[in-house]
Amino acid sequence: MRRNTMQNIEKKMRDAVKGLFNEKKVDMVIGFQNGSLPKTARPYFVRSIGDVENLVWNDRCTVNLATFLPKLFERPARPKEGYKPPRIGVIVKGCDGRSVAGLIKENQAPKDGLIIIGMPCSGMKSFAKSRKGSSEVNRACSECISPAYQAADIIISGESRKPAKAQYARIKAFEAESPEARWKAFVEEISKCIRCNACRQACPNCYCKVCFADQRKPSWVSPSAELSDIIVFHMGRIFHQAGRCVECDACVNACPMGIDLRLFTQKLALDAKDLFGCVPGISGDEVPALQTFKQDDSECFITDPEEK
Amino acid sequence: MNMIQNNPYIPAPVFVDGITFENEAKDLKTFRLAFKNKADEAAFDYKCGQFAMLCVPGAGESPVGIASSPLDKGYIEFTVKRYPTGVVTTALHDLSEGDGMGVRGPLGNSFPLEGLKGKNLVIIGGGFAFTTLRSTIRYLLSDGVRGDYGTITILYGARSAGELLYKSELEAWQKRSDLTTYITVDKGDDSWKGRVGLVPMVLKDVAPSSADAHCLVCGPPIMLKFTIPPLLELGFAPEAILTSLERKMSCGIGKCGRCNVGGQYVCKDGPVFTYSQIRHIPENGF
Amino acid sequence: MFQVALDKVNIKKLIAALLKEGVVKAPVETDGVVELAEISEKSSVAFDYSNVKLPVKREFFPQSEVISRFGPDGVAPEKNGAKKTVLFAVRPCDVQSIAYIGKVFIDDQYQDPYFQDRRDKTFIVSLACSSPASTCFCESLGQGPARKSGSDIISFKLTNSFVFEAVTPQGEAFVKKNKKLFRGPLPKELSAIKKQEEDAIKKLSAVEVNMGALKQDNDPALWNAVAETCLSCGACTFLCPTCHCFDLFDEKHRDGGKRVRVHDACMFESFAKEASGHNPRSQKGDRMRQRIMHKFSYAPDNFRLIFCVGCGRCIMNCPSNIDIRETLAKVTA
Repeated sequence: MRRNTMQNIEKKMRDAVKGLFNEKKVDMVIGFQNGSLPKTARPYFVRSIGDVENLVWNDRCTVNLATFLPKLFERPARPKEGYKPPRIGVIVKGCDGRSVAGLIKENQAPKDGLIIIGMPCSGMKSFAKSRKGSSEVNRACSECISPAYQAADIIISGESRKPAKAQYARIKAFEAESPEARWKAFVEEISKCIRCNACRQACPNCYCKVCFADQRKPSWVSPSAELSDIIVFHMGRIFHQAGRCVECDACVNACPMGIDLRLFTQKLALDAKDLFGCVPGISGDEVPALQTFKQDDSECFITDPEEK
Repeated sequence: MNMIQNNPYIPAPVFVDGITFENEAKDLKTFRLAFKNKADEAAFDYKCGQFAMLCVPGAGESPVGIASSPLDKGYIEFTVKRYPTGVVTTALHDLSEGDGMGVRGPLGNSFPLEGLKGKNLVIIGGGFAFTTLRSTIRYLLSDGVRGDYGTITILYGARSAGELLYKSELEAWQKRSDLTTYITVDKGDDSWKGRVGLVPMVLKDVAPSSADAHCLVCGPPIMLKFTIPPLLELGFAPEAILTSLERKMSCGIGKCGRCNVGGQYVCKDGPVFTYSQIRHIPENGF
Repeated sequence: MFQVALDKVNIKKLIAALLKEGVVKAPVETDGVVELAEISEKSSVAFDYSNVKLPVKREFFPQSEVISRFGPDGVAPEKNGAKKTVLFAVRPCDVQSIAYIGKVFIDDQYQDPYFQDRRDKTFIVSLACSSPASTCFCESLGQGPARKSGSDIISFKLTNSFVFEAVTPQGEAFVKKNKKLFRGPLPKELSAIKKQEEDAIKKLSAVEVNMGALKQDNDPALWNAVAETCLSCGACTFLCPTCHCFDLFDEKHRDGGKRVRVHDACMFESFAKEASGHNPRSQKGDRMRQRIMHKFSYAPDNFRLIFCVGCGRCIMNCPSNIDIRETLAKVTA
């Protein structure tokens, strides 16, 4: 995308946000500002019209801003008199918008407390990629089927990248490998984990007040980096995403160890689509796959795991 | 410090020698523990105000103030509240007499009783934070010790009569002539014939003299918040007010970084602090 | 100042000599990432790198470590089986951090035998920095690209040779034992290492650390603003060379089990949360304040050491790009 077009989009975005503050429609807007490292952008909370000039839009806006919403809308334990839930504007790419839709569906953010500002997205580059001067976008972006969120309250016009065609090509190739090869690849990749929880904290869907991994009565998994504990943590977290994960790669981008979590999250997304017809956040009215069942739901994962 | 093989992480083996229910709600029990090895018992040389890690292997450890007096021989006592969400306190409460467990300690600093000889002492406790104060009172009232100190005033309050700890000892103290004991409850009931009133209110009523006196005060943060101002008004200097803080702990030896209040670790620099040491720390909790 | 030199072509001989002292761990590059790994004579050591991904503290204070085992016979301490190890070509900032957390683990009252054992068995040959990252700010904290303390030997890599300086008696003993490997350093080599240090310092990020202006009072509005985009993950903590917080966790297995020490982070919401439900640091701002105060106020008070060596890993790895340099500026204004 040419620079002046990007600047154009940025200006339209800032004007829209200023409008929201002028019309007193929001208490804050979550967007991006320039990061402290060259060629990065980072989350930014705009609380007054004076801060709007700091908002940026570029191909470094990787973070999924939906992750901040559940905590911001959480009702305080002892609300002060006259407490009202905040009204929050949020800048979204296609993936982020689908996350917001999921949070609304799961009652973590109220639809009438949100103003979703949908941006045109031509793909994002991670910090590592932009440091190498690469022109490639992140894998999540090259495989993205929903670059712009169509159900946004405010749509900033501009050209987005074309939706990907063979979104699951890599996963299907991996599925075709032997169980031994797949297990070896899984263990090699996941062994790098240091249990820092960055993946979980960056994921908009991981909003549980007490994560299963932190529960102590009973204790499901130890906080250690023993392989068995790492596997249980990631298996648990990723399976909890089935039918909810929008493949935004927030977890991949947050992981300091560069673990290819996408290899596993995408598999769950593919299964939810194939087995239950569930693609979260696209149709907008689907019930989350894990919260319902149909009589003709596939049970092959019990009876014959190797068959599709 | 009782260190097995020079390793501060290994507990000494003990067994449960007796269990007393302390309150009506039955979620406060006093455990009398006896050491399996005489050497461990000899090494567990503690002072009033210190705590130990009670260790239930498989559940974990919990820091608990030592409730027995250092002069009590052959056993150590701890009064533990069971929290429904607490893994270790629940496991402790599930133990029976004769069961084995572990103790790591003694840990922390103590009430500086040596340096307070000759002084008058005002001892104020609220709720189940009274445990190390009970250790202190038992010690002070011992033969050969009582004479070293001036007047002793005790003020102890609980939410209700059923929640008062160490009831038989409270009765005995009230009968003694060498100390003044005030027991109060926040809320009275038909069984209670004594004083009713929150500890800070009763403190203002009885107004113990601060002349040549130090105050040991332990209780939940909310009680400390309302008890310290009247103490200051009565003329107790901030250096003469001693309290015991509590925080979540893991190692108990100042290494895991968890229990600090400002730059002070409750397990190592405390749990006993003077009010002057902690009054300006924003995280002091009151 | 016991200095010797070695031509670059002979570096394998030095590695062979180090391998005689124990297991050797050195930086190795895989797919663009440099990590500390066990090496053999055939390995290719990465010398031209800014820093290894994970902090070297993990060699002395691993993410998970069995402390003891319990069973019907009671509780027994675990022998961690540490082997004699050489850390080769690690950075001075990481080497400093080991001494710093050593002050926590070993004190007059309590000595952590697990840390002590690993420390006693480790010989450190550091590599002075010539190419710091843009996020390195060690010098602003009193560290430096050629800081010697904590190493047994410090090495300097020049275009065609290495210069080594023995710092401790153990370092000297190694050099003397292997004196056939080395030659005396040339004057131009000695001036080159000085210039390398000066050039490296110029490349560092300069941060004004005005700790005297660090407010002791809490300012919740300020700290909540600093931490508002924090995700409360533990990336900064787990990648920090001087962070040492841990938890002890019992794992049951049949009729016994083990007690494990694991890394923990004050940034986690439940870090200080008590069984009663009370959380003294329930707000993100309080936790951010704890992190900064611990490093820049409490540790200096307790140990006369700033618990930050300016390695920049937290800056590089924070998913929200919260930059400690900016935080320091905001809270010491």
